[in-house]
Amino acid sequence: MRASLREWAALGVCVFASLGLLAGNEDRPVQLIRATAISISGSAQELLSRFTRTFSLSRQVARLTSENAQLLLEVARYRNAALENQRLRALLGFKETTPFPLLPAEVVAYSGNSAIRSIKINVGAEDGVKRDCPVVNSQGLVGKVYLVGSDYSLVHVVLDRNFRAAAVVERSRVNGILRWSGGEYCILDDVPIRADVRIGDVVVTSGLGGIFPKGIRIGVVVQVSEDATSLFKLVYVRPVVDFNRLEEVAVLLSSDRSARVGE
Amino acid sequence: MRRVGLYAVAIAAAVLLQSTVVEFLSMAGARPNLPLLLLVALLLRLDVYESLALGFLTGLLSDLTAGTPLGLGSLGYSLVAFVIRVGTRDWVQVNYQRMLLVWAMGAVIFEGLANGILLLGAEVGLAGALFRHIIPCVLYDVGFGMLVLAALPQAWWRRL
Repeated sequence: MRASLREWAALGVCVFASLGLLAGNEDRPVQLIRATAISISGSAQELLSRFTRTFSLSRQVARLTSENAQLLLEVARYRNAALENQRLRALLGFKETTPFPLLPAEVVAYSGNSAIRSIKINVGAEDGVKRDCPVVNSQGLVGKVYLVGSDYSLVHVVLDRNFRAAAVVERSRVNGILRWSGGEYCILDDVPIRADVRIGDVVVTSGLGGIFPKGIRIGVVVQVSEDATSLFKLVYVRPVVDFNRLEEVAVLLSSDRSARVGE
Repeated sequence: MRRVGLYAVAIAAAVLLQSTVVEFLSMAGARPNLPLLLLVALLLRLDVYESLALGFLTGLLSDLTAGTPLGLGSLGYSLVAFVIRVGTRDWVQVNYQRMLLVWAMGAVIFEGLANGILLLGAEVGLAGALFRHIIPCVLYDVGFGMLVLAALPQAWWRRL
């Protein structure tokens, strides 16, 4: 490549400026700029995504109808379980746990990159959304909010390299930390070699760490590998949420943190 | 530099489309990179400094709207802009093969760098990053570029 010294210097300026921005991503001013930018671009993206969505409406109605029927059955089952739970709790003298209020939201944009799987939703600080609020849909855990604008927020989904969640195998109560494997699966870390984990086991949030409430479905174990030299199992989990076609989600609001734009 | 401002508007539109409409074209996690394809096509009409400015701006717009770490896009697109512009400065005319070649070059540089940084330390390793992320993205970019070239009148893009 034949480039003059001045041209190399210009490239150097761009590279250093980019590296400077990369290094300062967690700084408050940069977070504020990003929060403002997601709010500004959010309106245009929402308009575009609504336009695109009209093409898939009939398919969506069919899917939601069958999902609704399934959910009605599940609600009936859970209602019975809740009543039973209430009776048992009363017997044991447990405190009643307060359910989190749900804030419905629409996905207005996607990250557009295969290694960063974030989504933008059309609710923000004005709706009471805060950093680290869990995001779910009817299938299970979608992710958590990591940047809040006034009307829009960015969410790190489960299949994002920055995502971590305290999880537990529902059947055997084996705890671990869930993270993205780099592909279409997640890995449940820190599972001892002798722990009882089988293919087909359901993995849910454990409630440890204080970010995600207990019991939200995350995925199903699809592979368990053991290495003779390691003290831990390698547990691969397939998320239950279809991240390629996310359209509606809900944010679990909590009241223990104050809402600030740019957080 | 006035051209850069004009082109930046077109790039901003491509960035918005990338985060909304293009997502519906995703296959196996890969999706065509519309801002990259447009940037590379526009670079052929600019000098090195204008190219760098447009590349940097494309990255900033992309990072600010899509939620990728701020600075990642500007780094990747600046490098793409520099390599493509300096590497093609002797070209008198652009033909079909050359157009595909610059798109492939741009895709390899950008997807390689961006995915390489983002997947650093992930469980997939180098081979996984290459076969699951970088190669599918590059192939999709070039394939999409071929479709675009087939759809556009030759006289239009030959003027680039």
